[in-house]
Amino acid sequence: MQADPSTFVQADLRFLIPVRSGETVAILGDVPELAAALEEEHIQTYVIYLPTEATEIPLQNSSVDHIILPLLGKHRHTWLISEMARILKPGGWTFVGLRNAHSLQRLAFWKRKKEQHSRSLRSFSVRLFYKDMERAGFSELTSFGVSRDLSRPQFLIPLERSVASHFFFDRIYSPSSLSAAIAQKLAALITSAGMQRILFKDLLVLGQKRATASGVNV
Amino acid sequence: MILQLLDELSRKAVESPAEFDIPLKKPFSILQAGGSRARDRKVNFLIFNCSQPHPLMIIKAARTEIHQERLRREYESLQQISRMETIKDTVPKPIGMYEVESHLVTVETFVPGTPLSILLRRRDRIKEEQVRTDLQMVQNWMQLLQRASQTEAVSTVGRLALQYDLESCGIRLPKQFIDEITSLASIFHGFSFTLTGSHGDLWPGNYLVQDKGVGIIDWESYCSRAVPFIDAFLFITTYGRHYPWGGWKWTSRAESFENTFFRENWFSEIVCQYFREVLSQYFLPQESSHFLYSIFLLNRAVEERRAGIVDGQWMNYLQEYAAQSKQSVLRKL
Repeated sequence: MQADPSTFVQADLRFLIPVRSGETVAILGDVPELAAALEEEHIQTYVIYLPTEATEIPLQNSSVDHIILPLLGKHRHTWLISEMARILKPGGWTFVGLRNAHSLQRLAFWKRKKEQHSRSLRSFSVRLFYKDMERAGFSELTSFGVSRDLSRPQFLIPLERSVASHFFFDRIYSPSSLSAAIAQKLAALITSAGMQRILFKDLLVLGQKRATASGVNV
Repeated sequence: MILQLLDELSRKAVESPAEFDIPLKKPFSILQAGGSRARDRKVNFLIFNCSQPHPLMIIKAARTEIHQERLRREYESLQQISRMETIKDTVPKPIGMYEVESHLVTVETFVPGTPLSILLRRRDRIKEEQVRTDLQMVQNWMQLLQRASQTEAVSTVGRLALQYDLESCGIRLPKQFIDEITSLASIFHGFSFTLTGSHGDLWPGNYLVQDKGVGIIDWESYCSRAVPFIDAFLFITTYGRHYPWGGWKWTSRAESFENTFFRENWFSEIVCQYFREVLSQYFLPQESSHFLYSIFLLNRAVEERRAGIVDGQWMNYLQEYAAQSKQSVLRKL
């Protein structure tokens, strides 16, 4: 059976992680094409499915070089962040997909009925999520808006500065309806005001685990 | 992987500023763009720094080893094309080709402009006068490429090569259409024209509209010796596909093709004018439009079939054209 083509696009997520051949990556979720793509590049992967009631990630302390969490769902997120910090080597990167609690789509009441099926997934405030990550020992935090969404990540748009998101909505975004075309015009104003984060329903957050207390990477 | 490459490029920019004519200064923002759903394709990364509203450069990474060869060819094509004086300002300039963590990666300059396909989708540039202007601009650009890349003269082939293509790929078409095209091949035999460079994938997504001028990107399919009107035929076919016939509602490929080539409307009038102008550049008779376009569709379908694509877009176009060829507006020429 031929794989769903959109999964090849999910495998592209690996390009933004500074992963090297011979390193190990833990994937906390079901993204088979991503795992296969990493294996092809001689990167050892641990694919782990965590039940909601899990009490620990079954890996040793500081045992993996990088972590990919494709979508933060129903798990207690502070617990999961501290577990990721535990298993990650100092200097390693983590890559977390999450639903944006402050996106325009979530605020739009006429969209809520359509999204009822996805209400089982929690949404997060990026600002508070950053604080939780920093408390757990992560730094260099940066986020990307995902278009269209995490199941079909065709575009990843950096959000720390507005220039890239302004460019995306001005030159790349292709509206599929009149309301989307109106939203595209509004997006230019929103990015000019530095509020680009609200334009994306799904986000990817990258963070690096701080080195040891001595400041030297192990 | 991209972060590692950017570190290396930043170091090179500091060590050899004359060689590296791009203001590479951290911090960077990386926009990962347009992952195609096809596995063996590339992923693009647009690199911004904080001081400019447009990307500094584009990094392209091959997803798989199969695509690496295409990426390498694209880079080599760009090295050739960016030296052509008349079009060098309309195409990306190659900066470097690198291997990063077993991935082939190329770096090229950014070409400003908005893809015409995006503008059409936004219902911009859809008025008759704008369509005429855009088609004229693309013809002008194609002429510049062709003049800068002329090679040897060849003649049109006769019926035997055509029959071989049909039989070898097992393409089933209406007998009436095959008989007609085979007969026309005998009539339009022996026309000569000069082989030139051809973009090979000139559709409105690779054609950038600028304030003054155009930009042309994605040179993976460049061929230095090709029949000169391939780009023109491909462009008008795909332009018709992307024109917003149904307003905000997406029109099917069949209906778009029908509107472009079989219905009497202002657009098909423009298509006829386009073919007249394209063929007159090569001193070919207008009456050969229907024949040459049929051969173009057949060749595209054959290439698709040989690449293992069974029900591809060009096969669909060919079958639709063959089924309705009596109504083709190109017969009016």
